[in-house]
Amino acid sequence: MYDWWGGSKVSHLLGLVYRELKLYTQSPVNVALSLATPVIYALLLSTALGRAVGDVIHNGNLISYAAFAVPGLAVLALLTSSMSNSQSLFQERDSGMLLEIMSCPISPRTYVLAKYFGTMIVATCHGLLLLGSTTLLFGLRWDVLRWLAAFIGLPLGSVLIVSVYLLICGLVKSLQSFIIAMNLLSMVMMFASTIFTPQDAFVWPLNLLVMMNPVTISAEMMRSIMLSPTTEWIGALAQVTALGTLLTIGAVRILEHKLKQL
Amino acid sequence: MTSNLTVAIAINDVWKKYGRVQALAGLTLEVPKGSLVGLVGPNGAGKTTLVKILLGVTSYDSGQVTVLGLAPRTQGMQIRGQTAIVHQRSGVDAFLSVWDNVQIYIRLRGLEVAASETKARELLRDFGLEKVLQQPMIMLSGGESRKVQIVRALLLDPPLLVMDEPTASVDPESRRTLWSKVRQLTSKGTTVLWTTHDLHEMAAVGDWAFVLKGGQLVRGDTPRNLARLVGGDVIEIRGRFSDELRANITEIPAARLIRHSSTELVFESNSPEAALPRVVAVLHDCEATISAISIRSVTFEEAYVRLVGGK
Repeated sequence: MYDWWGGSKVSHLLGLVYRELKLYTQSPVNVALSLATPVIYALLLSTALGRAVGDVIHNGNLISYAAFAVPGLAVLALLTSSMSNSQSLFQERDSGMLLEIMSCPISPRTYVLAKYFGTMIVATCHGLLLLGSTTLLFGLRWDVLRWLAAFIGLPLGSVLIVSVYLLICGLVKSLQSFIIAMNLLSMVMMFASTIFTPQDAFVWPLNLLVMMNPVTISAEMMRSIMLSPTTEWIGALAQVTALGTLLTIGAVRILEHKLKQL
Repeated sequence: MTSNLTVAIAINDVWKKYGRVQALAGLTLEVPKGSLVGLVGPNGAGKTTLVKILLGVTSYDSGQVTVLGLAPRTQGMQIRGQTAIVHQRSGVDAFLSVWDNVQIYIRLRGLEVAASETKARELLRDFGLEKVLQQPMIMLSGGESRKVQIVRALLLDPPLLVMDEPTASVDPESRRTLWSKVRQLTSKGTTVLWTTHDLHEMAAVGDWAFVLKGGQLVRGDTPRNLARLVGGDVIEIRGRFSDELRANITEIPAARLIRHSSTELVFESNSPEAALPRVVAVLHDCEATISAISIRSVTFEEAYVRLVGGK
């Protein structure tokens, strides 16, 4: 059965996702380290910044800094997963693996979509683990509905964030250029966002950048899911979905074009 | 032009440029169905570019290409679905095990998992890889890694098998296994296109050989016919030869010196019967000691060197 992802069969897409997960799980030590890193990061930042900032006003309610920061830190986990996964595109090209894959009856679109699925799965696992561990650590409580919504929100957030990196992959020529662009952009996306700090704390014109930052949009979605009434987070989910779809279409188009000239 | 029924690959006046580099410059050739065809040529002759174009993973600037009756530009997916390939560069996941790489390939090709895994185990055993199944690819030698790529390609029974320098750094025993498997495939109608620098191998197993240079076809025929077409014989003389001798023997009419050392002189000639007495006379005048003389036909390798203009 051939379908909309460029003529490949569903089994080819599943094969690529299988490969992405095999690569991720090939070393138990790597898995443990990649899971532990965002948790340690979360601990350090939350305790250090929490002491400095104290309580935070969110939607008119005074909440602890931990409750404020934890949903944002889940997005930080998405950011780190997206960075490493998008980078693999260049590594695969330079190692000859990309040519090997594209020599199978697999379309460039299927290859790019498999990158998305692989990132979504890994990033969601990281995000949920981070949410779980920090929730326990800081004695926070979220009801089941919020956990379920987080389970939907995290993959959507990962699509939005990895799209930004995949767009860069499509626009630059070498791994070196990508790493430079990625490092620069990641710093901006991380610190000019509401992961650690409420939006009010940013001054004009930085607050405009913060507002448009996909990381802020994802972090605010996660914050809505964990802290706000249902009516609010449904809107936030829709916003992330819409923006993620737009960026995905752009990234897929650009990369498809690039992958047709190996 | 031959009938589509008998031609697996037809390339007509194909041009391809990468930036300022002209990779293919009006290449024209036809590969008969069910044959084992070798592509030879110096580095940069356009062999790998041609392979990529055939698979539809790289486009070309102008010309016509059909592979198995399909157009790579618009039907690349269908071509790749019917083609197994061993690429020149190692297309494996270095940190995954041999078996993981095989399993991934089975899924990427959309093959039936259980049957393909059974076939893979047999092939891995045939190529002497059964002991390294769980080892990461990065721990394998270059030849072993190549053999894994070969095993993956042989999992399919494709109408077209393309191999880009498949036997580079592979041990002789595994080479023989590969050629025996490849011959089994051609007997079932598979067309095999392989690029190589090993001209002895090509002369031994190839049905056809295409010599490329500068993105153009220099000549295409059976390896034996190519040697005949280039023509001439080789005169090999063994003995003891001084350095001063060299100046006298480079200008003998009808005999061209192609190789020399203190114990061997090799000439190329279109009329060895006429050339040999002159060569012997010159050597006699120079008081050289001759221990053996032989005359033989030009080998495919020597024909190739002449065709591509090397020394």
